[in-house]
Amino acid sequence: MLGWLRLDFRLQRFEILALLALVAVLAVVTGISAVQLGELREQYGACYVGTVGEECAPAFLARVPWEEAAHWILRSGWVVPFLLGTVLGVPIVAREVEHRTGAWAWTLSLGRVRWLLGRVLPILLVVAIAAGAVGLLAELAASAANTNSDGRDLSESWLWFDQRGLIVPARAVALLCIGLAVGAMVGRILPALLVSAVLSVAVFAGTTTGMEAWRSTDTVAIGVNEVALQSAHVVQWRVRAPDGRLLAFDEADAARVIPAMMLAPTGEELGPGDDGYEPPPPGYVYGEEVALAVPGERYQAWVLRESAVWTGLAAVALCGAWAVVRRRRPA
Amino acid sequence: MIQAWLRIAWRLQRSVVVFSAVACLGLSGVAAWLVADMRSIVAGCGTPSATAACDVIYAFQATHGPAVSMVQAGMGLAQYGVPLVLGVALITPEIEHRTAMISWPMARSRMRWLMWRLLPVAAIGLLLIGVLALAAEALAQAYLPHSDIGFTNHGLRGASMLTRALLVFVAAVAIGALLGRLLPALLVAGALSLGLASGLDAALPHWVESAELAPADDMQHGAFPLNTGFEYRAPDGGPISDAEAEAMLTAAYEEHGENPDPAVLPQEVFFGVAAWRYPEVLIRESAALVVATMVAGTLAVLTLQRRRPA
Repeated sequence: MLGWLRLDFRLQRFEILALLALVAVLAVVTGISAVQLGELREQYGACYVGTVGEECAPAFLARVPWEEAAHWILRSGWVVPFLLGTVLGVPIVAREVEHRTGAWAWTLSLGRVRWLLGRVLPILLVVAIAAGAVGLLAELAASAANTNSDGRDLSESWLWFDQRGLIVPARAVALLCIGLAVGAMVGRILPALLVSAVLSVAVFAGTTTGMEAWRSTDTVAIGVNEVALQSAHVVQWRVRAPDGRLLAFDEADAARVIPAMMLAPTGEELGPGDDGYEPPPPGYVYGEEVALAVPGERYQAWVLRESAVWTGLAAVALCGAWAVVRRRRPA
Repeated sequence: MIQAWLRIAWRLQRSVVVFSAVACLGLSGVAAWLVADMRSIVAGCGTPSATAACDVIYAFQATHGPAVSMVQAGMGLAQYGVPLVLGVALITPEIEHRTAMISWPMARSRMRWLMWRLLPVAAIGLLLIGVLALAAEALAQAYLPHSDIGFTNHGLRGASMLTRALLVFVAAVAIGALLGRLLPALLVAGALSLGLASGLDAALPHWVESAELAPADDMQHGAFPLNTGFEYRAPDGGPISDAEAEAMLTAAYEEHGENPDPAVLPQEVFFGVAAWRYPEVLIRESAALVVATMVAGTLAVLTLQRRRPA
């Protein structure tokens, strides 16, 4: 294994070091912004939750650059798996075919499958560890940037859910295997990179859409003013009529239900006879705007499901790569 | 002879050229369709079939906003991606595959070889990016039909897109010549492109001096300036802080109700570069980018002249 690791490092040294350097830079930025945001929270704690006054203006201004840095770290949870997977996965087979060294390498390894495993597993380990580090950094950044007032930590919150945690390395490994398969099929690095890039974006879009459709089967109705909504993942918006029916906005228009409630400054619902209550127009009734959302308590379960989907895609792509390498002409 | 070099360029970079053409022409086609759709709606203004788009600045934000944003994002990626892959793939394969030892001597000089390899690819790339730039310009104009678009989407349309793409192409050639390996050159050139885009965005307010914008130069009056600052002024014209302005507004509304006399309200004053000065900024930025392109080109030539072929 160590021999294969050394070989992979020699063959892809620049790319591995460049991407690890990127992860190191992200780590430094995360550390600095997390510390700064933590200090601001200690200094201005009350300003970041609930109703705030004029004295909080400096608190928000001071927070802006560090929050922006934290958001860039979170965006790296989308970009870095793509870079790691595509740049490190595509050349594994494509380079051997393009440079016509496949014939020797595959013969000297006592079999193509043995060669493929020896080349892929160390890179897979590097990608999983690097992407795992990015997922962890994104968790730290999200925790520092979180200003929700519901008192939940991020293990029970959907905030920036697809940019942090276990999903990041799972996605990176899948994109690595997709790049590997595309590189094996195309046999030339640059065209394979382009095809892999487009395919990766398409797979990401398809998986995101599919997971969202799956999540829509696990929703509960949460009122727009309920604290639980801060940590939930909203799938759709509805209007709850006085009789309890959940209506789409156009259905609510047709049923003459206004998606608004009379609320006191303290957040309590006002009724007829309360100070500040304004009755609805004649023929209309008030309804409550609600979100069909997946609650925060189910976040971990859905992370595991989505990670399993990405792992499944990785397995399929790896099998595809194995099938291509087995049958491929080496040049 | 020219045909022979064109054939060589096509054979050596066929897949990349095809990919670039599909990306640029595909995006341009979608943009053209959106432009035609938006213009047909504007053509109906002043007639019984006029829509709400005829009366608002952001005429198509609700109807076409997501589609236009996606196309513009794709154009932004293509504007850097296409010249990047075309440029990096020019010299690096020759060095990586050790064919430079044969091709460079056979061309009688390295400079001659570079020109014959680079010119066809550059012509194809410029043509594709040119089409993309025209489509992006038309899209930006059609999306804001009632305004001088000024600095909107600067860098993602027209001449500004073309000059950036040209610099990225030549820089990619230079980096490819320097590093001699495809993937490292792609990564370095990609990072440089990101840096270029960020640097040019940061430099935009500094090509000309910003000044107080006249009321006729602001967005409400149909122009998109480059805003660089904002301050409040008291009714007597003296500058005041945000907190003082807030207090003045609160007092005015409490005393005069919902429609206070504008003479007692603090004034909002914007600083920036007016939309009508956009051509001036564009010329200055383009000149700087052309100079940078020439420097990158010189670096590419010098590197190629001195480089070991493997």
